Amino acid sequence: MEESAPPPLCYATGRVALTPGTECLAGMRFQLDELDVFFPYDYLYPEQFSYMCELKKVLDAKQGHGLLEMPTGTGKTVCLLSLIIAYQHEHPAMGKLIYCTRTVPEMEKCLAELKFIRQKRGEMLAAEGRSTKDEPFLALCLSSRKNMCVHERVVSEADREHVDVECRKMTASWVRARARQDSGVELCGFFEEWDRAGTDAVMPAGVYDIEDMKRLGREHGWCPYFMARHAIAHANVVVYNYQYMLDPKVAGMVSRELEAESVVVFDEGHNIDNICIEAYSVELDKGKLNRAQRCASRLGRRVDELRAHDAERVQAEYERLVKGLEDAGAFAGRAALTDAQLGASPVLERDVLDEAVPGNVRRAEHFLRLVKVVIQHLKKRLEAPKVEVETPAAFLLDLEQKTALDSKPLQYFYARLNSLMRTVEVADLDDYAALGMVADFATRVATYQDGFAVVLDPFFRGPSGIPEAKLQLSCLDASLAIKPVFERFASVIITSGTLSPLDLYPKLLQFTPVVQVSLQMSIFRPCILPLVVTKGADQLAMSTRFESRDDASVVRNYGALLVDLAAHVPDGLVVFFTSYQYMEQTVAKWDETGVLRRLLAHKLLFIETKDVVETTLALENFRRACDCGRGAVFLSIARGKVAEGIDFDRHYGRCVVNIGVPYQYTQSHVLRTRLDYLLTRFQIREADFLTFDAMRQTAQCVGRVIRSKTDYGIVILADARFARNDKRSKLPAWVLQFLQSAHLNLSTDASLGIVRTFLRQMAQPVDDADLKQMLLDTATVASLVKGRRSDAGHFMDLAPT
Amino acid sequence: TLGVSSKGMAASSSEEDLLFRFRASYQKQDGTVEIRARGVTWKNGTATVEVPFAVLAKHEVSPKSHPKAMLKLSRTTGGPPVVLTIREATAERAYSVLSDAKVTISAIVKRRKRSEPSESGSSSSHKARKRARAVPEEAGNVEEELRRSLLAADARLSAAYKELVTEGVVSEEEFWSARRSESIEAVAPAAPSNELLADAPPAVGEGSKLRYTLNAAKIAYILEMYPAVRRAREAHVPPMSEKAFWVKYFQSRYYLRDKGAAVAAGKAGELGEGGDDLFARFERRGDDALDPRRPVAPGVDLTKTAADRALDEPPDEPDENEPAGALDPSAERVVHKFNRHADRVVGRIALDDATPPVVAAADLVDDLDTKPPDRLLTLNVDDRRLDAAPTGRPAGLSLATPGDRPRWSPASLALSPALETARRRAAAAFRVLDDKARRPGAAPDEPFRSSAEEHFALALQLLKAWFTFPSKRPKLRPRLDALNTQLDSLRRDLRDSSTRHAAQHAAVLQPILAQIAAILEKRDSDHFDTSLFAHV
Repeated sequence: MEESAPPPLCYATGRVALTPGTECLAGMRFQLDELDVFFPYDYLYPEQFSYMCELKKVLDAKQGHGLLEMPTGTGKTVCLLSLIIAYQHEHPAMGKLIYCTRTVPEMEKCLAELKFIRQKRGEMLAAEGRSTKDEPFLALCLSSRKNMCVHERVVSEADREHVDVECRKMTASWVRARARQDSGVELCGFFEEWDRAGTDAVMPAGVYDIEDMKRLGREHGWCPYFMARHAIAHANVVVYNYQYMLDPKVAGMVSRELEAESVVVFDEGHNIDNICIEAYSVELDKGKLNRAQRCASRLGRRVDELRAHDAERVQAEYERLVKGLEDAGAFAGRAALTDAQLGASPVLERDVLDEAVPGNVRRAEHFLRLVKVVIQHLKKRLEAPKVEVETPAAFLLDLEQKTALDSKPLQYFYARLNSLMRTVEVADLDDYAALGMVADFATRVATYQDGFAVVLDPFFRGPSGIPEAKLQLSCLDASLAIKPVFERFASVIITSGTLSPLDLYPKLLQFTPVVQVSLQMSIFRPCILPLVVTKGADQLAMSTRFESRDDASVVRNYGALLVDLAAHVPDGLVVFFTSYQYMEQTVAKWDETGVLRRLLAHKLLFIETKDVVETTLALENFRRACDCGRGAVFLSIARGKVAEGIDFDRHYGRCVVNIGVPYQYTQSHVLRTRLDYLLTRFQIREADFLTFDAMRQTAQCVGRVIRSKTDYGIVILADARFARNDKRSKLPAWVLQFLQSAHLNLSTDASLGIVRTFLRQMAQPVDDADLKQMLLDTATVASLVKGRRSDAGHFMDLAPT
Repeated sequence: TLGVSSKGMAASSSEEDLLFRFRASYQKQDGTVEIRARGVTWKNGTATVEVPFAVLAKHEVSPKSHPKAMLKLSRTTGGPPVVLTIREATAERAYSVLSDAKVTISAIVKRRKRSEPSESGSSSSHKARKRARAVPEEAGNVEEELRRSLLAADARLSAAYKELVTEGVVSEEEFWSARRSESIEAVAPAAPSNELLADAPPAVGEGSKLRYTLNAAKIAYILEMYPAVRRAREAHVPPMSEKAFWVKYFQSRYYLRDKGAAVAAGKAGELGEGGDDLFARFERRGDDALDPRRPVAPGVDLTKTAADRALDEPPDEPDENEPAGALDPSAERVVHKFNRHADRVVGRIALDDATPPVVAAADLVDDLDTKPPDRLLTLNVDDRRLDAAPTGRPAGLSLATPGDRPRWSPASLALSPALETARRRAAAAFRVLDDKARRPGAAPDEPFRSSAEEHFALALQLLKAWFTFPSKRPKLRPRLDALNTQLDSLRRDLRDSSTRHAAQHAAVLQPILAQIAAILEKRDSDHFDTSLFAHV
């Protein structure tokens, strides 16, 4: 007799797609203080309930921000969305939820959760005879033209990199004006149709991911990109990339109109300080400066041509500049969306924008001559024989002395260039990227006196490994980029699975969170096996420290560890190296010594490269190999593209190996400058910051393989340095709770025995009774809510840990 | 313990009769050994090990001084010898049993040698083996090596061999004649292999001599992995001979460009784009790249994220002033090589969703490839680049090609679309089972899976023999019936199993069992006879 399997327990797994039997869920509804929370699953984890309570404290604080850490794979996103949407319904004045993600897959996952929540909410209300039609709800995502374009020719013919250019060539206001007189000028039908619809081009209520937007665009003949750009002003939830909020050039165009009452969430925000710094830093080298010089000459010729046949337009621009940059940069109507050239002005204060543009940059030819002088100066600086690190003030002083220029006009460069390019009607912006970077550099260096450093490294070794001179305006203070966000929006929530140690973030970002909490992971079985492997079977220490990383014994022992693990671990195995260079050298040595031949006898091998397309295809192949074979091995980089955004859940990642502690390259002059700044400004010691940074990257790699509570995985920390308390204590609590003291100094063969035992245990069926004991149902949640009023926090005691 | 009974001796003319039985352990598991005229069988409740006399190379016994009485049986088909430890209360009794067993086995082996030269091919093949050893280039040696390696590598084929040849249903030659293409499959497998064939290490000869062995599979692999080599071959062969071309390849800088050894020795830079040789001239941009047009799952698409970071901001262009070749791609090329290799392997699996996984494909597909094979080439390359101290002699070449190797004829039979569909459905069901087993907490279901898979493979082999050798059908019929009974039994076991997992497996196995049953039910049907196999 066939037994019928019991219905699956329905609980959040961290993603909708993996949840078994979601179609049979009834969902959960409970009252959290005044909020009517609709949770789309039947059960809640204890930490999810805690998370919601803490989140609500942040929202209740109005002008308050939060820092919340919850273990990876415990359903952060779903409880965050459930609670904030409930809050939105209860407090309509709250404004939008602006949800910032790192990657497009994360964006899509968020929207899938949101769809699910809305669907369950509708079903639960329908059961009461109510409808959601009276509560119009619009959630959408915003991505680049490359991802959203539906124009057949542009998508099929144009190089993906040139979608932006092709789009501008068909949608810029001057192109459209020309098309009215010349029928031969090609316009984008989707944009024209959307423009024609005007105020009627309203998106129906719903939750739209990129594909939904494109589908809607095709159905109505509207351009999805411009539709999204326009609709974010009316949406309840907007999901987009960090850059759109943190990079002032993009944020100035995209996020300027968003209401201040909105709640901003930075999901997976453990690297937010680095993103802030990247957004504000500018790098120049000789190649870029040469291109910028050519662009300036080309622009000069176009100005001359324009003056010859349309002097009025040049004069009009001059008049606008006299009134100030704000007027010069003002766009009207749809042109605000289509004609923005290099992006909004990055950093200028209101008073700078309002005052008249200095006389020596008002005329185009004067401005371009000035630009050329600055470029020449920068090129000369690149020829310096040794490394130079100086403050922006020192850099400007040197510029003034050597070129006899006043430094004040520099801060207008970016906006002035933007205005000029619009005047001469430049659509192919790619050609002018280098010139834009020079203008950006000039504007920033003239605007910021503190928190920046100009680093000139004549022998910078980039990814190519070839030394080349590099001039970098390096942002040292992450708080500069995020400060406008904290000041402007009501609540900013930074959340991730790996924020430990929490007290460092308020220092780095210069804010005072109203809630700063790290939540434990409730478990029903030890689903993570962290092992610190410090030596090979020959008892020689394994470490990627610079002095020993190239030793034959170290390379051999790492290879032997990998081959042994491939032989014992079923399915996917993910390995994280500390850098591309080290990985490539090690792979070459393993290829030479036959390690990889032995590895291929067990599993196929895939390797991350610097090429995004190749890495994507390797990932796709890796998943296929895991789906239909004996699993595969993926070699990756701890700070790479894969470590930051790709999940290796279930059989895609049964084991993760961290080869080495992923420290940053400490000889980098930029890093050294930043470390000095952190010490003098925030009293963060160099070693503390480096270890913190390395361990958050390690934790991020570890989190890749555990994406739900029924998932399980082995975590091998393969470096003798992981055994030290100062390193491992900085790992998140949800990893440390599984780390036994007996597993801190293992050899390869000893670790294999433990791995085998663990795999045997984990291969047993999940006991639904055990799992259910850990989950909270509606009744338990109701009692917890009641108890919360008298004694907040005791509910965590119910969770077996 | 049973001695050699008079009844047993008297019945020795019948192959099925038991000659001797004793208790022995194999790989630390207790069991019973039975010596029959056709072979020695060890079995316990769960496992069976059989060594037919047809494949018995030699049998050895432990000396009396040894604390354990052991019988060691080596097979001509290769693989580890079977070592049986006699289980008796005392060492004396154990050695007594061992002595009886030795006498019995020796008697049978002698009798087989006396009686079989004229009627069976085994003795002649033994002589042929001897001849082959004496003349290594002789065709029979190569063929026999291939057969041995095939049997050693493929448990299913070995099972079919036992079922058909050892049992005397068909002769050895008949068995292999129907599987000529299988020999080729072993050399140039249709199913992709994980092995990096282009990187097979050469044998080290005297001095700076390296010996590379090429075959059809390796050549096909190199031509597919390295388009520049394919182009060079198309351009230069002829007039250049095939041998000369491949020797040039192994001597070229191009050959070493993505080898870890060259990178580690710091030679890859000079062997890269800078190196101008026969092959580098045919290199084109994008040879190392994967096909970017293939659709990928949204969850792993990093290109969208990369594009998303540059909203309205032009991408940072690569420096056009950078001198070509300034990058040092040596280590990167090694990385690209592995990604390309894996792409090739996975890409082949993904060509057809219904195509079964690697192992299943290799096991189940036979006689499908009609591609003519190439000869085996052994190239002795004087490669001084790898020498630490050059000898000063000019780079030379000595090519040792084995004489006239047999050229395999293409297969004469192929599975018809109907049977191929059945095979694919079964493979898909196996894959479902694999996926199921991968789920967290799934119980190990290997016994069910392997049992069903073996039965299915055996059914295919028997059916193929049925249609290939009509004259052997009387002998095949009882075996097909026996298989049918076993399948029924397996089906019943699954269906009646009380455990939930077994019941679930029964559901998963249903399509496989249905297909097997359908094949067996149709075995007498004329329609089946003509439709399941199509001549090519």
